[in-house]
Amino acid sequence: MITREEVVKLANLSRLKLSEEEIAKMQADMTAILAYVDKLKEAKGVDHGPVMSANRNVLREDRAPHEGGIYTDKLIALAPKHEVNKDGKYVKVKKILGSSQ
Amino acid sequence: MIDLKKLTIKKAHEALVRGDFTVRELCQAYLDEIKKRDGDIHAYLEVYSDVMAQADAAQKKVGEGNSLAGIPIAIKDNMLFEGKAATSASKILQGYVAPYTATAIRKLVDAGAVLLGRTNMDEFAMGSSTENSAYGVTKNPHDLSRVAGGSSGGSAAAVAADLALASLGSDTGGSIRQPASHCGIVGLKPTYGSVSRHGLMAMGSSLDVIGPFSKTVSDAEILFNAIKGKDRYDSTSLDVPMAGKRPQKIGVPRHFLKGDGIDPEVMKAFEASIERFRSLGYEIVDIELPNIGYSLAVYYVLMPAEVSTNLARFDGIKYGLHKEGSNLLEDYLFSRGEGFGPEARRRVMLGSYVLSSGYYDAYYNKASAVRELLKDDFAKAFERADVILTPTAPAPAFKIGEKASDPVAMYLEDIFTVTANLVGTPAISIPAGTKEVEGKRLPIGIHLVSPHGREDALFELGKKFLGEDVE
Repeated sequence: MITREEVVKLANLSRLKLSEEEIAKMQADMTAILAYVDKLKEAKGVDHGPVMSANRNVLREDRAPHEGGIYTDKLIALAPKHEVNKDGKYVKVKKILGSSQ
Repeated sequence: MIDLKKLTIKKAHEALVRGDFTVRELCQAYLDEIKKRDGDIHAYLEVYSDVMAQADAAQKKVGEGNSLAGIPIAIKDNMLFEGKAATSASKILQGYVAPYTATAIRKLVDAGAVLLGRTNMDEFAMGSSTENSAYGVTKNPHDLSRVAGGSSGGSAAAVAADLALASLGSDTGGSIRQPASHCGIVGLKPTYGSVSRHGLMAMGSSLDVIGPFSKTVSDAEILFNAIKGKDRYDSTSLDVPMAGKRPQKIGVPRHFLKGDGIDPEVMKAFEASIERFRSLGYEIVDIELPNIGYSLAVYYVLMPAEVSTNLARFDGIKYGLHKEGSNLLEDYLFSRGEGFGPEARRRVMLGSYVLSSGYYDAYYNKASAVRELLKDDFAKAFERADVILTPTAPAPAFKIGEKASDPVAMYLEDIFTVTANLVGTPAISIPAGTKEVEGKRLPIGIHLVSPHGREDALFELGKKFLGEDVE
C-alpha cells in the first residue's frame, strides 16, 4: 500500500505536476502494480552485487570524437528558448540560485 | 500493377534487378496504398515528403548486389533520421527534429533502402497496444476494432496491411514480437547489443534493442544482417557469431503453460505447431525454467527504474515542449507534467519509488538478483534444448479500450516475451494460425528463443516452419 503523501513526494522528486485527480489514480495504480511486483519476495535470489554488461572497459581514444561545433546550430535551434547574438549561441534558462525555492 | 500482397524483400529485389518495375513505381504503389488505407489503420504518424527523391537515389544502387536497394521500409517514431521529426509519439517531443541519424537507420540508407515514414507507437515505447500514443491508436488490419499490439504497433500494422514492405521496431519487453503476433507477421528481437542503440530513444537501456518486422523469416534475416554489428557510438554493441550447432531439440516449458490465462485457441495453435516441428524432424523435450514466474515482476522493477533515469533528460529546456512556470522548478514540473502521458508518468513514478532510499534493496537489488537467476535458468535449459518454444502472447489482439484502465492486465501481455529481454537472448515471433472471432480471423503467433548470438537457429527453424527455402 502506497500512501497519498508518498505519491505527492515521488511526483515532486520525479518533477511531475499531478492534479488531485491524477494523484488518486496514481495511488491506486501504483498500489496494484507494487502488489503484483511483491511476489519477488518469494524468490530465492541472492544479491550478486553489481551486474556487468558483456562488454568491459569500452574506451575510445582520448580525442574529440568529431570536429568541434558541427552540431551546435542544430542543437541550439532545438531548445525552446535560445538566443543567438554577437557574443555567441545560448540556451536560455531561468535563474538557478537564489530563487524562491 | 504490382501485387503488394505477395511481395517480399527477396522478390522485390529480384524484380527491381530484372527491371520488372522501378524503385519509383514500387514506392508509388506503397504511397497509393497508404493513401487508400492508412486513414482507417493509422500506422503512420508521418509519411516523408521526399520518398521519390530517396527512390531516385536508391535506383542507382539497384544491381550493385545489395538486396535492400530500393526496398520501401517504415521506421518506428523513436529512431532518429537526420532532418526529420521524431517524437516517440509523445507530446513532450513536439517539434523535435533529429540532428543526426541512428546507426541502424544509417545502415539501411547506405544499403539503398527507401524510408517511407515514421510509424505510430506507445509513447516512449511504453505499452502493448499503441493506445498510449499521444497521436491516436493504431488499428489492427485484421479487425479495425482491435489493437495492433505494441509498443511498435504502427510498424507491425504497416507491414501487415502492405503499407510498407518491411519495417523496424524496438523491443524492450516484447514490443516487436507481440505486435508481430497480433498482426500475423514475423518479428525479430535480436540479441541485446547486436544492433546499435545509437540514435534510438532510450527506454530501458539494459533491455532495448532494434529489430525488424517482415512477412517472411528470410526477409527478417536480410534486415537483421543489414543493421547488426558493433558500433563505436554504442559501448554495449557487439558482433554476434550467428553460427554453431544446427538446432535439433526444441524445449517446451510445460510448467509455465498451465495457467488459465491462456486462450484455449492459442494453446491449440501452439500444440499444432509442436506437431509441425515434430513432423519436420525436430525432437521436443520438456524443460524447466524454475524462476520464469518472476520475470514480469523483475521487469516491472528494473524497466521503470531505467525509464525514470532515461526520461529525466526531458526537462522542457533542451528540446521539445516548454511550459512556462514562475521559476525553474515549475518549468520542469509543468513541462513534464503536461508533456508526458499517463503511462510514462506512471513508470517514471514507479522508477523513482523502487530506486528511493529504503526501497532500493527490497526492489531494485532483489530484481537484479532474480534477473541473474533467470540467466542461470536459461543457461541450464540450453544444455537440454537448442531453442525454447512458447506462444508469443496469451491471447489474440484485444479490443481497443478493453485493457486501457487496468495497467496490470496490460502488462500481462508480455508474460512470454519479457524474459528474453531480461536475459538478453534473441527471440522471434512467427505466425502460427488464427482464431475466428465475430467473423474476423485474428492471428496467433509462436515464440522461439535461442542462446545469445544464435539468430541463425531462429531463422532456420522459422523458415522450415513457414515452408520457406533453407540454404
